[in-house]
Amino acid sequence: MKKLTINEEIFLIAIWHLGEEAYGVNIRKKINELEGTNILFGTLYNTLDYLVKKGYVNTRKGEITPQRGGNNKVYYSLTEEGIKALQRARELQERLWEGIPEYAFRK
Amino acid sequence: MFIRKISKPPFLAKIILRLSARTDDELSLIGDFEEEYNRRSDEDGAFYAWIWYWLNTLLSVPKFLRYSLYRSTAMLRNYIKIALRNISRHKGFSLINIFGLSVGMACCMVIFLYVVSELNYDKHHDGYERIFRIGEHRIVPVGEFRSPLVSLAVAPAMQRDFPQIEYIASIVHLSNGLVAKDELQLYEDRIFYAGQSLFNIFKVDFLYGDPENTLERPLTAVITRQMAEKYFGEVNALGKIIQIKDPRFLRRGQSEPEPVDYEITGIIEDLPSNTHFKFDIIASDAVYRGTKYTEEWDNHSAYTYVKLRQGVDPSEFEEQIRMLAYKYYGDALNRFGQKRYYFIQAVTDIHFHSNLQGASLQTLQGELEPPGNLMYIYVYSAVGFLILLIGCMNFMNLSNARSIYRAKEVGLRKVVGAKRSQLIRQFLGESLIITLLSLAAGIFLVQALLPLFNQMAGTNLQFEGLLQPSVLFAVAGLVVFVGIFAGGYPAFVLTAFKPNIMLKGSVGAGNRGSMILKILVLGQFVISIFFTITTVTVYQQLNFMKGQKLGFEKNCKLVIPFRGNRNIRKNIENLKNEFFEYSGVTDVTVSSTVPGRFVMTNWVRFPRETAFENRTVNFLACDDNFFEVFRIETIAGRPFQQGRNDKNDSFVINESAAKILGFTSPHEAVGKRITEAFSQHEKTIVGVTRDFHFRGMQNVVEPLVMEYSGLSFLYNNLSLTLIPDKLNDTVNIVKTKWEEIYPGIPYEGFFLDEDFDMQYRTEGQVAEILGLISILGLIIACLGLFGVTSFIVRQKYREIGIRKVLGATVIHIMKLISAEFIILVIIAIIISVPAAYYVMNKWLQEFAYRISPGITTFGIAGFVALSLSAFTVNIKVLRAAQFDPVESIRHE
Repeated sequence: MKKLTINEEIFLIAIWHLGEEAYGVNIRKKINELEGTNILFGTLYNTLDYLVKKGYVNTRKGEITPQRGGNNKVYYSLTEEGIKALQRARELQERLWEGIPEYAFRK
Repeated sequence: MFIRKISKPPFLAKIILRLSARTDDELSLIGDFEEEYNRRSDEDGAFYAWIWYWLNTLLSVPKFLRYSLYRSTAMLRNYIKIALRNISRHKGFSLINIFGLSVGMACCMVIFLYVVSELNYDKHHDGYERIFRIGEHRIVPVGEFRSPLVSLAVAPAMQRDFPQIEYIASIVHLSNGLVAKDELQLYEDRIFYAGQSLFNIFKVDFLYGDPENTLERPLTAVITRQMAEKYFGEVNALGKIIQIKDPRFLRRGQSEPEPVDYEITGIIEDLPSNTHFKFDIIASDAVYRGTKYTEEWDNHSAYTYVKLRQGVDPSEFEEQIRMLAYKYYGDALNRFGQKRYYFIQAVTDIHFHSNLQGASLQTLQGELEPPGNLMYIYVYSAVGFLILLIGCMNFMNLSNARSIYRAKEVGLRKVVGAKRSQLIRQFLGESLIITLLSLAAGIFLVQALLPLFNQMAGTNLQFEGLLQPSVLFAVAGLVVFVGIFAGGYPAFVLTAFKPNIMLKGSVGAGNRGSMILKILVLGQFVISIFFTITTVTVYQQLNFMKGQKLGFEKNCKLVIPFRGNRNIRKNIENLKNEFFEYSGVTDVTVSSTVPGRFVMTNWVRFPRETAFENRTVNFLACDDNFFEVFRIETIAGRPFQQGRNDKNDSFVINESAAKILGFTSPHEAVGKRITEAFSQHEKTIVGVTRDFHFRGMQNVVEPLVMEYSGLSFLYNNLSLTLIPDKLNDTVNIVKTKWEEIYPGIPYEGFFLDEDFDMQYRTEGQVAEILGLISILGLIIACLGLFGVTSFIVRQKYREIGIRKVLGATVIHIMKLISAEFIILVIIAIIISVPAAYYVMNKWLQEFAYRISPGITTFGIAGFVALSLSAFTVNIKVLRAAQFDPVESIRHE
């Protein structure tokens, strides 16, 4: 099983957080919130596309709102695979940090 | 309900975004952009949002592109791999395909080169839209004509009077000019007098010499590379001397013009073949610049070109120059009862749309070169397109025939989950690859075909012409067009079927598939039979024209033109005697021209009831021996005879002239008096000849008036009748003798029969090109047929085996399979015969004496097509029919 990159991890976590509301604009907002940086739509879609290809994420066509100029929303949701991958990532993280006290890297 | 104001995002940015979207899902990103944009424009204002939208678009798009490029090359590599695998698995199929397509494309490219070159006639000059030629419309009492030759006074007058003119140049043709350099002396036909301004109007590339200052001084000349190599053996002939003898250029105190030394001040690159003004040598016009010649309004010797200033309206300019002659020459015009108007012709129109007469009816034709025929441009374009079509049909046909195998592949791909769009892409990609391969092969073929085509069509097309941007663009378009057109059937039709049907293998063998197959085979044969019929017709017409009775004897006649040389002309009688003495020569005559060469026109006046009438006739001067030498039959009266007063007082006319002059019978004409309009000589008609074809069979025999003139300058040709059995010896002796008597005059003898047939050169070229095309077309069509038959035979293996077991003979089986195709070919013949008949009848209208395409024409074409196709089909079928039925039944 391939390990998730930190970017993919952040994306999957953002999608999980948003649940039913996970579409482009919201995902980007969430990621910006989590990460504290501003990501481009270009990066957003490329990564989402990749996640879909990998099978971590499913897509579903959503409604059209006037603000969207007549375009569908596309909602993203985690697949079983995605959830498993997140779990593995979390386990890995926790295992990695186990036993390292918080003050270890303090100056 | 509360509705928020919706603002529109920047349009262009949205388009860019849309273009970068790869899948349907991704179109939602446009929605996302727009939603975000709306939020920002509510919160921060429209301007900020606008900036944001653009910035994000521009920053995101490269990322999209990079990503999709990475992904699509992966697919592309796969397509290419599969395409190449398919090509190499079906080698025969691919070869036929690539051969057909590459031949089609090569023909198309060659013809494209030709058409582009013809349509770009005179377009290489800078600002060619502003270059015009001045023409003259002259109405004189006996008639009117339009000519490109104007008086030398026109250019200086126009330069003075019209500030709209940026440059103006007059050029004067030096006819029968003799060029000499040491021992070498030759007649050159393309020598002109002109001034420096010529090079401001027409673009030439100077290799040596100062382009700004070449023709200013008297006795300087600019020559082409070819001339420099011919006379000096090297290109850089700058400062060297060449001698030119102009028969009209008499210096004071001389009785016979002498060669004049010209210093070469410029060497230019050879002119392209697509310019109407082709010259070899330009001699400085400084000799007559500013002399009385440039003030004379009654000569008509100069071609005059203007380049108008930017922004000048040509039609306004034309209106202003129309009456120019009246400002300077009005009194004289009125006195002579003449009218003279000037008009302009765009330089680019001259090649196809201008066929003006000479200045007076006595000079040679007015155009600098024979005009082009737009009809042949259309014909060649159509031919190029059609042969490419045959190649494409081959491709479609074979793809179609093979589709039964491909159908399984497609079905499987679909089952595995391929989308239709992917399959379409794959098939189109495959056909694009085959097209590209064919293009590569085609380009090699072009290189091979070009010299052949140049030779046939008398053109000078360069392979490098293909490298121009416009041509490259067209070739790229061609590849895409051919790829999509030829690969279209499997791509769009095959991929539409349901996978379960396809896997059963019933697609392609079904009715729909075989219908298309038949239609395509039919189409190919319709086109190639059409070509064959046209070729046969053209050849028949050509043979017909060459084989017609001309009414005069053209065999064993050696003609030596002597180009207005005064010495020869003065001693015509001596000259005749010189050759008459020699035993290989049985008869000698001198005349102004010989049949097949240019005949001048003139008017005659004749009394008619109450008034005089004028008629345009052809005019020829000859001596009393002319009728004897050419065996022209007199049907009334007598030919010219020695010892009578014929030199001053007689005309002999032909039947047509008798008719046009209103005589009911040739006998009635004898003894009547008519007047030649120019010199006002009134002479008696002493004889009427049977009509003979003094021009090619394209034309009806026109009225001809012959005079036994005492004016020696009218005579230009010496014709000798030679004894047939020692032609070559005699020619050699005549030549040596000529060089002995006239060391200064190049010998240019030719045989009349060969020269006369030169008039059919255009038709000969068409015949050769069409012949080549129809052979290629038939080959491609037959190869396609061969491929299709082999697929069908493979499909019917078992059927053939079973039939054989049940007692069918080889003949039966051949009939069974080939009958279908033979019927197709017969239908193709039925379709193409009326079409070809219609087209060829139109073409034949150009000829005064023509065949009517009949049973033989269609019979030959039909026979060729039928036997070829029967042969092709049966090679394959015969093999299949001879197989051991046990083997073929066990097959699969």
